[in-house]
Amino acid sequence: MPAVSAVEFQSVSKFYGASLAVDDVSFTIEKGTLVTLLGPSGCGKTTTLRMIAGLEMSTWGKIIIDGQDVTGVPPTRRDVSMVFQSYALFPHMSVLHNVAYGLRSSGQSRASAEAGAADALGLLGLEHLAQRLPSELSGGQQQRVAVARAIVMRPAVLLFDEPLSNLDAKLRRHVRDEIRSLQQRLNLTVVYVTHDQDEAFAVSDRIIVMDNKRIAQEGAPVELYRAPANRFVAGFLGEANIVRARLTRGDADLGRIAVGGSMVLWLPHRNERDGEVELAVRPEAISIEESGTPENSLPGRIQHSVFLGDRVEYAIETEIGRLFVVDFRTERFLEAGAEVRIGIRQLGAAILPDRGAS
Amino acid sequence: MPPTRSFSLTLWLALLWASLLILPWNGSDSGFLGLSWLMSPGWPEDAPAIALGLAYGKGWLLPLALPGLFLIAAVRAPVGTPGEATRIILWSAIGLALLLVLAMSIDLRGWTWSLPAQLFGDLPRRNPGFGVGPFIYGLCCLMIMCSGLAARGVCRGDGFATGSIGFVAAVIGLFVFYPLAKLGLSAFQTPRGEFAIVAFWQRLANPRIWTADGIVASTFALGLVSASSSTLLAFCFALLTERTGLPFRRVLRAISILPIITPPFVVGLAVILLLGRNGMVSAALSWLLHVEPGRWIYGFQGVWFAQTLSFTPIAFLVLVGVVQGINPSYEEAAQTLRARNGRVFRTVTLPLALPGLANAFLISFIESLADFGNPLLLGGDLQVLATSIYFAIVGARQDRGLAAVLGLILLIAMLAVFIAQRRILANKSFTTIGGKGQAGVAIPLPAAMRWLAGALALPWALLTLVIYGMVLFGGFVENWGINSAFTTRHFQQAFGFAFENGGLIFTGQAWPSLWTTIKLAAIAAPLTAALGLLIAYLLDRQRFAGKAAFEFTMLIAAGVPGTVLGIAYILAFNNPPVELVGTGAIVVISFVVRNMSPGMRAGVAGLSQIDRSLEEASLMLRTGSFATVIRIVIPLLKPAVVAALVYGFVTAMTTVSAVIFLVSPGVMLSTVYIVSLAEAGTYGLAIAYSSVLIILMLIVIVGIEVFVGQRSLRRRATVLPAEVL
Repeated sequence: MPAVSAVEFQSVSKFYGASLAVDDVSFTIEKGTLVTLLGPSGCGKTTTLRMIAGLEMSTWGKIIIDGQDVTGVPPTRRDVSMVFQSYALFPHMSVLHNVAYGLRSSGQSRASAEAGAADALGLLGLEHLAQRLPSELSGGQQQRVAVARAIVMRPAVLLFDEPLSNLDAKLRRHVRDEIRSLQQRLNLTVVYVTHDQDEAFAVSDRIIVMDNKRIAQEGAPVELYRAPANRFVAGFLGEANIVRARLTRGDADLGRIAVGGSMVLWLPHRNERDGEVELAVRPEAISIEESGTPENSLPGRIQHSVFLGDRVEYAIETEIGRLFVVDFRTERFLEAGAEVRIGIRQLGAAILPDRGAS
Repeated sequence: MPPTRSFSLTLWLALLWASLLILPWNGSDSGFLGLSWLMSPGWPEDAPAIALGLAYGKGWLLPLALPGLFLIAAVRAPVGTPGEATRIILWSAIGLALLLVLAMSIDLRGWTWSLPAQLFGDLPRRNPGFGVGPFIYGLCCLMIMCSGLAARGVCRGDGFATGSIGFVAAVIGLFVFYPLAKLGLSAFQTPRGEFAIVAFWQRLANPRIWTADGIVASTFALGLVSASSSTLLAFCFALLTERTGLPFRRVLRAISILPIITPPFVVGLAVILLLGRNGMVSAALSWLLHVEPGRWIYGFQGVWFAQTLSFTPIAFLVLVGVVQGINPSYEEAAQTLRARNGRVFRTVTLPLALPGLANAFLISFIESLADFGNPLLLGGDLQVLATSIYFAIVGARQDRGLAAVLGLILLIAMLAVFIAQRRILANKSFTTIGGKGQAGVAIPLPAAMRWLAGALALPWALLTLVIYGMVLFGGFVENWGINSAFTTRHFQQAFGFAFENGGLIFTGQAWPSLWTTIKLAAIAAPLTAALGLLIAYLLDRQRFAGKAAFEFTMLIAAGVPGTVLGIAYILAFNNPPVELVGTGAIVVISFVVRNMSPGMRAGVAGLSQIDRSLEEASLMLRTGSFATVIRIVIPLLKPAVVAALVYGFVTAMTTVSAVIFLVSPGVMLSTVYIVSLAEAGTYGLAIAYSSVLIILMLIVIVGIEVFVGQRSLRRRATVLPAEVL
């Protein structure tokens, strides 16, 4: 039997009246993986999630869940559950009734629904709260009840809409680890929407980066960070200096890249043609030497420096432009005006092949 | 999960067949809601359509079965068959169309066009209207069509939403726009029913309408002065309560209930008792000044006086919100720019309040246009649109055409003011309403303004108190202006009861109308609330094509003046196909249509307090729209539901303008009865009955507030857990 993917979008677009919300989006989500839709607000990620849920209907294109075409199917008949940003716990029902609600609506008897709900609550360590009202719970507890209410349905796909945005910073790290471990323990297929790149990196098997109603790039977290496709992805996932350089293709994969007058890097050429290319250079991949003229380096002058405790941030003026540099060697602190030489570590630099995009 | 055929579709189809095979097709004398056919069915009067078609020679009813047959075929086809939804839509639409053609083809006198007359022969001279069958048939066709549309993806495939939209559109269409269309047509019809534009122009050219002291000029002049004085007084009150230390706030709530619980003519009645020929003040003045008490209160000035008394609380409700909504930081900013209090008030406060003032003015203006009770009691020779319509219908020379033309003029005037008001509200962005806390201290009222407002408002407040005092205690006076002895005679006459033969017997003459009113209002209240809340739900929670038009239509429907609706109902529902005049049903329907807007407002306000994702969460948990409304929305909306129920009941109890056209000796209502008592000069009885009515309404409102208020407050606090975090 060929493996059926959990969710498949085929050229899906969504209009609200005349305004475009999602523009020709296609992707596939494999079973048992956690995939994040990541992007700034207004990029179309929430609309995409809501189209998986059936809370929005696509204007064009085809949506397939668990092998079934559900393009026109209402949410009540899709095998999908969702954890809402506001949790959306029914305030007039106890925790137990909240979790049993979906089972009851699916036609289960009261006893079996409540037994199922109790199991789900047990899974999240919430048994002792079963009789409370949502208003009597803390934010983190409410969040877990919302998760219990969703997983009790044993959905083919579980959706999370910015689940951490209502929690304080300390709780966030804990809850996101909990979501990830639950997903792996129960082998759930999860689609997760967030605008926070740390959160996306921490929980995801794959990340779909969205920008301006379209998919900007898709891949595993490491791939996206090491080899962003364009300026947007490079800048949205971490920080990046965009530098002009000259490419000369050499052997199979690597190209010779001349940066400024006296620096040469060997990087994957990513099918770019010889000539001028754009390079994304991570700020922590730039090394600073105070003295001497090491091989493969460029001269620069510190313009501005900020001490941040665990790191020092520099703005350095060079012949390839002004570079933003993060230095974790906090034992030294270079003042503005200091003359230095900079080098670039290969792993923190990549050619941007997709220059048309923002 | 395999897609399943929706159960409701099967149900509607079964009901459709019941409407053809079981339910009586023709109406009985008790109207289409009568249940006599259940108790003692007698054919052919109570026969269903198929029986009439097969056995009683009414073959034209048989084609109605055709859509039913094809719909069975369509519903039995496997789910997801291509074109399946389209066939369902097509055949249910054909069913609806057949019904409409049938409805338009037969009137009281027979066929309305020649083809069916040739096919089926002539009809008897007196034809019955529709019974319960056709209504159910039409409803089923409509609901099946809506579920077909949902299957085509309308409203995100939500059958409950499409069905509700269809239902609301049908109700409003049948009970607002169809009668209004009839009204428009009647304006063009000669007394013999022929269509003639000349007839319209002749009526429109009636000199009584357009002269300088004619109907239209009087109506608008009255509206202008009443709205101006009400707005001015209300603004003074609002400034005094919000911007001075006067201990007015406690009275505020009491004032805000007055216009709701007071039947609209009661103030006029009290004014007569105070200033009429035998009025208290008139008597005192004539004793002091040795002049013969006159009838000076009857006419323009009297109506103006009564309307100002009636509408000031309404305008006050608007303006108190406006004054509260002016952010004090603007005034503080002006003060820091060296403006003295007077200048701040003139250059900042007043301009910011201006849209609100305009809104209050237009609301009072609309009230004045629609006001029926005060001009009826106090108008004397004054002719305004609302009363002229009434007298054109009930007067010696019945002139339905003239009534229709006057109704149209009133309707158009209302619409114009209504649209102007919407414009102003749409642009009203100066003041903020509720929600965010506003830091800062408002400027005290400039001394001159304070004195002016006080001088105007305080005597007026006293007068209002006197007026309401008169209403409450006037019933205990023997005979106004002639014999001021204390008596309970009027109350005994109205509400007397006795124990006879071991049973309680209500001997008072007010009982029959009071029971009827309570019964009909109690039937109407849940329907009113349901319709208002349903419309609110559709407007607030659903997205569909034509929603803006739907919203505008609903607002217009809710704003049709009672007098216009009353005359339109008489014109539309007196003859087949829909014969309702003289039944309790038409009174209930007019209550529902006239009073649905408080329910709408309460619903929209309540829904905006409920996080939308709660309903989405319920949908995601396999719970359909309808079940979600029942299990999530209504429990959370309880305060709004209660408010809508109470308002639906109270407004039904106190309304007069529409129902005065619709009552019949068998269906008499309190308000209409009181008006007729007052017109006959039996003021003691009228005022005694009014006071009982007001006290009753007060008990209902306060009682509900006490029983439900606390709980509703606690409920609201838990509605948005996310916000509490």
